Amino acid sequence: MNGLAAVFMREFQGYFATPLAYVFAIVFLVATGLFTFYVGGFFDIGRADLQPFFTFHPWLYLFLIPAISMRLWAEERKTGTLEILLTLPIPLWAAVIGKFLAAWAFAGIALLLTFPIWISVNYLGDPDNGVILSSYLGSFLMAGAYLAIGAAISSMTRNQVVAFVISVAVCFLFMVSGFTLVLDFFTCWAPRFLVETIASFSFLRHFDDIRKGVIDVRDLVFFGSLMAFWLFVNFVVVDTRRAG
Amino acid sequence: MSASSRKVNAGLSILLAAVLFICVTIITNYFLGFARIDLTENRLFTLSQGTLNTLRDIDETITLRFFFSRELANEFPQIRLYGERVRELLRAQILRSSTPNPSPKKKIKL
Repeated sequence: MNGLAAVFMREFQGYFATPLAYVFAIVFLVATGLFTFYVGGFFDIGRADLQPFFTFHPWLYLFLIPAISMRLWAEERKTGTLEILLTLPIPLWAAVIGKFLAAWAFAGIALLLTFPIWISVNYLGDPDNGVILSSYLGSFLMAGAYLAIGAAISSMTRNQVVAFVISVAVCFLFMVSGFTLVLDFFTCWAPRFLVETIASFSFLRHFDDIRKGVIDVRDLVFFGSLMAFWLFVNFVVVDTRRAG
Repeated sequence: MSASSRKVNAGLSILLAAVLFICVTIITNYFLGFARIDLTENRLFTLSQGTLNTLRDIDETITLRFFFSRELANEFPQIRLYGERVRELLRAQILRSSTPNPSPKKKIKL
């Protein structure tokens, strides 16, 4: 447990020691603001809710989250610090989970910093704060899912650009897996229950569900098991490469 | 252990994990339909007390017919999601009625 906390603290402080945290947070906040007010038409729709704000989260995360996760393992491998990390007296799972949790906590802070929009909408009208709370939770869970995918892919390469591009591609597939774009590959040969399961992998669909203000156990289990799966892949890849 | 057998082991364990992940998703999709927390202020997605009272007091048999084409809905994820929500609402109402009898399910292919 100490190893986990140590990796977490080191990684988490690492974000704020480099410009990464500030660049990410500023770009994220500016982008959410622009999308909410200009593309989402926050004032035009004339309703006191944060739907135009949350609608763009999956798309912003698609590009911003792999930008955090791409360096997690690829950078360590490239600079050769991975050997040091792996020879430290901490179990490998602690390193994997610690890195992931630090990145997730950092994404959570960026998300929390969007609180002015919550204050504004409460000042302007009387929104349903339960829905907003559940949307924030959904957004946070979705960020974790993107991060877990990105971290696993980052462990497979030493090139951060490759990690970024592949992470975006995989995240995109998971995001739109409810659409015919992905389902058409499966409908002709796979049984219906499998097609529907693949359709249920869609981040957009789970996020849309949570965004309505209903937290379904299925959504929680989906995001939880997805993160567990990709962290396991991450663990296995690092473990195998360490030996080979 | 040689490097290649380690790689095979790693591949196998990732494959197993993927299968497990898909199984968990299938199981939760099919069996955990009712466990949810409604955080909306007006409990928009929960059956109200009035509905529950009405359901309890109905004496006659009521047949619900739900028409939904999976083939057509495949093109539109939102509609598929909406269809599922309607189906779950109907199922919840059936379960809360005085003599729940959701068994006669007929699937008609369109």
